[in-house]
This record gives sequence, C-alpha cells and structure tokens, in this order.
Amino acid sequence: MTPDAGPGSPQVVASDADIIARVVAGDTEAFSILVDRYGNRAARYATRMLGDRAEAEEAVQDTFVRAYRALSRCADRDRFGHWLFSILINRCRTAGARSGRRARTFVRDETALVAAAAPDAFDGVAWREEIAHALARLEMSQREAFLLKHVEQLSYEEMAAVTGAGISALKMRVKRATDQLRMLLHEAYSA
Amino acid sequence: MPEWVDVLGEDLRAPVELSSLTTARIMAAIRADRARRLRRTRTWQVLVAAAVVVLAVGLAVRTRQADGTAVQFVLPVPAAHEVVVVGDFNHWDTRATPLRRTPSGTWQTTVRLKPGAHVYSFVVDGNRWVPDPAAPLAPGSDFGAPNSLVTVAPGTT
Repeated sequence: MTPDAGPGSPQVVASDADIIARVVAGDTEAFSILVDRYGNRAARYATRMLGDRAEAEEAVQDTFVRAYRALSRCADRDRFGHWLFSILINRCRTAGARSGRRARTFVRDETALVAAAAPDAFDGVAWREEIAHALARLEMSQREAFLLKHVEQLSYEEMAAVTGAGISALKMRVKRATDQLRMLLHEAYSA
Repeated sequence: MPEWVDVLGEDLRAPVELSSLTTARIMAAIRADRARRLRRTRTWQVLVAAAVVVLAVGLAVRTRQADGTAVQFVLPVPAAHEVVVVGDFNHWDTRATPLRRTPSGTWQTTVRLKPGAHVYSFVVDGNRWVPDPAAPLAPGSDFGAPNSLVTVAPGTT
C-alpha cells in the first residue's frame, strides 16, 4: 500500500515508521501527515465499497482514529498503509452490513453530482452511476475483493494479508465479481 | 487493447478526496484522545506516588518499631572475665548478648528493645547472676535470683 502521490519536486520525505515513532512519542500533530498520505485512498475505497460518500467519510474518520489508538501495536510500521487498510476493510464490512439492511444501492457522490451540471459530462456521470449501481449489487465480499484487486491494485498476497481471506477464495471472489459486473453492465447498456 | 475490466478499474480509480472537514475531525478526535490519555496517566502517576509515600511511611514506622529503642546495659565489674546480659528480649540465652570490657573495667553493650517492660539480669563468669545496680528490681524473681526491670516508652529511639 503506497501513499497518495502528491505534486511537487522530489524531496526527502519521512517514512511512515519515522512518523509513527514521532506520534507514539507524543507528537500528535505528526499524525496529520499520515492522514494526508492515505486519506484520499482510504476515502476512495470506502466510497466505492459503501456507495455513500457521507458514510464513507465517517468510516475513514473512524478508521484513522482507531489506527491512532492502536498505533503502538502496529507491528510493521513501514507497512502502515496495509495495516490501515485492514482496519478500514473491517470498518466498511460493519458499515456495509448495516447499510445492506437498509438496502442502499446508489452512490451519492457530491463531486459527481456537481460534475453532472455540465451537459457534456452527463454520459460520464451516468456511466459512473451504472458502475456504482452494479457494484452495489455484488455480494460484499466479492465487491471488496474486486476493489482491492482492480482499483487498489493489490497483489493476491497483499489482499490475503489485509482481508484475512485465503488466496484461492479471493481469486474466486474476484472472478465471480468480474462476471457479475460484466453481466450487470451489459444489461444496463443493452436495455 | 485493454480488457474491459481494466477500463472499469481505471474508472473506479478516479480520485476521491477526503474532505477537509473529515481531516479536521480526525485530528480533533485524536487530540482529545491524547488529552484524555494524559489526564489518565497523570491521575495514575499521582495515585502511584501517593501509594509509594504511604508505603514508605508505613515501612519506616514498622522498621522503627521492629528495630526498637537502643538501651545500653552497663555493669562495673573490673575483675570479671566474662559478662552477659539475659532477659525476656533474648529468651534468657546466655550466649546471645555478651558485654564488652572497656579500658576502665566497665562491661557494656547496647540492645534494641521494643516498647514495654523487660526483665533482665547480668550473668558474670558463667554462673553468677547479678541484678543491674542502676535499675529497679523486677517484681518476683525468675531463676532463683532477683532480676532488674527496664521500661521502654513507645515512640523513643
């Protein structure tokens, strides 16, 4: 799990382990560097996973606070990103189970709605909504596996580490998710 | 030609920016968490420090009580070869508390006694029981000879 790439000239940046050491030693403000590094990526995963921007923001907030509280127990500080994602994945599972009971299916992405105001952006927004709609119809474990593989681009080994699932089970979930998405999106555009 | 799933993945990789409000909330939550932890730590530190003081004072008092008060026994018998003091504080053991002879011929030793009344006697040259000429006699007489009495008041050192 790598941090969000930022603009600007190359600079020597503190490693995650260095920042964690500062935070654990009492420099609470240094934690904001980790939020800046991983916040957008976490927000993207949670948004795609939960299909609701507000719920995703809440899940990410909760994830970072939990990570802060457990920071001294982070065994491999240079792999903070993976560790954070394992917390986020669990948090999204809980939130997903809740929202699943409420049968939520559509993304409410404010950015997408603003973009939709421009007429030429409509097709793009509609396509994104179809994707979100199709994603929301996947089983949670399949959606999780698909996003980690094809959006977060983790290897199966990395996925196994952050989800706690076996590699063959993950491959099966990705395959089923892919087949399902192909079918749902085909239906949507042939309708 | 990329597979459709790659195109889909690329679409879904479109950036999602964490709102600045959420970032601010995260930092506010962890600042509050840290302040809470510090308060808890300080409370524990104060409690532990107080417990240490109470234990230390208790230990000092107990040690002082266990050590007792230093009482000097003196017997002026320059011609003696050996003098010991026996009493309830050493279970009347004639080997437990020998006295030392000073150059002036006086025999003396110091024993720490707990508060209360103690009955004792000197034994000169192994068989002669001699009461302390400087102390009152104890009521009754153990071992067939008059004994002396020393009283240690509580709180003296």
